[in-house]
Amino acid sequence: MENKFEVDIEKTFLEFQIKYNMIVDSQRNSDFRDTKNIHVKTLTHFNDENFIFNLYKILFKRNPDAEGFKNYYAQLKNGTDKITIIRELQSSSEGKKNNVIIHGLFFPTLNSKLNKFFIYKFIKNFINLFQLLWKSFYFYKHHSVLFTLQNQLENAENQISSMRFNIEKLHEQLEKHNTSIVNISKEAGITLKEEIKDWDEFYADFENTMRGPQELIKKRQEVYIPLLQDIRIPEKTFTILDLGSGRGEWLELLAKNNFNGLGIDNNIAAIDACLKRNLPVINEDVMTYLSQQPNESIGAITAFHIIEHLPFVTLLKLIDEAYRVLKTEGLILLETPNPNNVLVGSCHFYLDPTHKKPLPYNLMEFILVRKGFKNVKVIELNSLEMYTINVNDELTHRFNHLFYGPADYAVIGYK
Amino acid sequence: MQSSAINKLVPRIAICHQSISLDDIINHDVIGMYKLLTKMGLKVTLVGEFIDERLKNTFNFQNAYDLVKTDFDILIYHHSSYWQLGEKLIKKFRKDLIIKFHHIIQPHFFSPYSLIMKKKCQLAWQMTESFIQKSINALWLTDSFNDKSALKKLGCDDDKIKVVSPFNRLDLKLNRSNQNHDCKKIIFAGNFFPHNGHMHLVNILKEYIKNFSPSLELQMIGSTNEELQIYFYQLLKKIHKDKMEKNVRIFANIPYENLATSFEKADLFICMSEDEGFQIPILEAQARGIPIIAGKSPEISEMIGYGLGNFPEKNDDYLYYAQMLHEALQNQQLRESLIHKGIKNVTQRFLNSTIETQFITSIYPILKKYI
Repeated sequence: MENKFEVDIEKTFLEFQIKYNMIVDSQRNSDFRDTKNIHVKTLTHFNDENFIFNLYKILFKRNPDAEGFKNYYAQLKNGTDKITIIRELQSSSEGKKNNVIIHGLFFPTLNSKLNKFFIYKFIKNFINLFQLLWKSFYFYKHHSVLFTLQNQLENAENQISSMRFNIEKLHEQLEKHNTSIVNISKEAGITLKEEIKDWDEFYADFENTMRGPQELIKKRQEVYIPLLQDIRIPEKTFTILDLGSGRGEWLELLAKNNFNGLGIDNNIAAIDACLKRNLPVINEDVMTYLSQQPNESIGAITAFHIIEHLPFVTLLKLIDEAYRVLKTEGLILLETPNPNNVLVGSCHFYLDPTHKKPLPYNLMEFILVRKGFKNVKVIELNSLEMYTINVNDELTHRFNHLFYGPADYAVIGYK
Repeated sequence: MQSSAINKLVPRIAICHQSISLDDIINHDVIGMYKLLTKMGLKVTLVGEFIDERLKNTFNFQNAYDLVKTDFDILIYHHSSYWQLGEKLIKKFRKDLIIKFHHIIQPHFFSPYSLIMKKKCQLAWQMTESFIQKSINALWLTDSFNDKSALKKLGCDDDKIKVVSPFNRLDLKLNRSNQNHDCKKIIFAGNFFPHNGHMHLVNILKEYIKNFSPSLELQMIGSTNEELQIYFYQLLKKIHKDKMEKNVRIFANIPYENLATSFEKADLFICMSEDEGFQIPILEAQARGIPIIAGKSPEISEMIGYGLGNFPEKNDDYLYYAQMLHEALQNQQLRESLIHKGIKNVTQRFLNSTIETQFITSIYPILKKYI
């Protein structure tokens, strides 16, 4: 292998040592170069490489040379005490020249010298032993406190376990209460349903009167059939879910064109009407039904004049759920009144007391794109052509478009 | 008219990575994808923030800042680190997104050495999590099954992740010379990063020399990083302290092209990495018929595959590891078996022809929409 990439371990290590000691030095003792008086404890506070490096900086006012550094570092590692090294460097010619005064050196030097005598060592070791015993006693004393704390901790843990048990019991009770509440609601539901029945009939009548004849609606909806025929799902048959199927015009059209449609509506009167015509419908809340469907199980989802009845948050949730249950390449089609038509936006929209807010198509287009649908398109339809003024100028043209232009639009997208 | 109609059917594909060059494993993957998709007749553009000048004459390029102006149909985003501009690109991109996830080191490995590296890894993982949450329709490709598990833990759906090994420049070269020399040579190649377990290697070597033979040389090959100099210093300090200078050789920052020559005359590849993604030197070693032994890291075990001679887990019992090393150096039958299985591992799993099939099969559901 080419030697130019080989790292000289010893050299690089030494370079690193000096480099990183410099970092330590500059961080802790940037003013060492000007130090003339220093206490010995400040010097012995440093260890290993840092000790040698800082000693050079203080006593010689320079960085250590590699050889000197290596020599003293080796001495230190071989057991020479720090005081001996300090004295050696201080008494060298360079040390004397710089004349740095080290305070507090007397006793450490004495200790270093006395260490050579056996009796001194013996007494020192005896004192150390005594200190060790004292520390052991101290430790034992604190250990008993720890023992008490441990007991308290165990008690606390027991209490927590018993509290957990109580919580579980409460949880069971809560579930029992919940079941009772559900039962009571079911019983009460019979009465509520009876009350709603009136409302459902009222709304069915209202729709019959205001929405227009079923044949006309079906004719209008025929425009969507080619979209369904173009869906690129591998399966030959797939379900088309019609949310808020109402009077079932779309379901009839789907059956006529051999599509597998299924209507979802919570209006009992509408459901009754559909069932009498043998149309496949389920009496369920749209959101509840969608949430129960598995991922990627539906080929297309349609909703005619439904989304304007929903609070905005519910609308977003509905589109999220629709995305989840649609197969890849599945279609979503949402038809709603077009507020770009001034008459619709200012008046006709409010004919239905259950409408929430007009939804401009730019908003719906944005939502579908934002939620991940692809190839999102808007189709404007149902212009009120019979009312248009037959004058061929720009102003009339604009007036006709704004007042008698498309009264509805559909936004479509693909998963 | 006809040609414009055909053009409409050909998807425009962007392959994106922060830096695009010739010199690293991720870019080998980027270039491999580019070549394959171009060969299939698709329009492919490389998109990056830093682009190697040497590549500009050979490939279609675009600066990452211009992506907002261009309408691609498919974006293949190579995610390996935190990249702010990349995050913006993904946020703006509305069509078919494929994210190739390359392994990101766990941040805690860098804690003692570099806060910057630690932060970088943390941000990269956070970015991964954010991609999973925000780009819910993206198809994820990972280098390994371990990476797939990591993404699943972060909330990515199982069916949206496909495992596709990265394209590489492996070359089978099996004509190895006789290895009966006096001093055995073991190698490890991997960046001088803390997760790569260099300290473990020195400890094993120390035990080996103490208990078996002083005639063993460990070569450590890899790139150093300015941010991790303290780690490199500590490694040198350890070698010095353990008096291993004569038995350890370090080769730093060797270009990829020269890596193969460093494997010459190696008796064994040893790996004690604790967290690694796609470690190409392992495959380079297997492709050259070098037996491998490794510590028990799931990522490394998955890579080595059939050719695995891994140490059972015995934390810090370096004498045990040294015994295993001795066995792997002396037992000829074991060595032959490891070599044979290593070659099988490379040829069955990591040749570009295999990876091409994996890659195209994985992205086919997206491609078929356009073709």
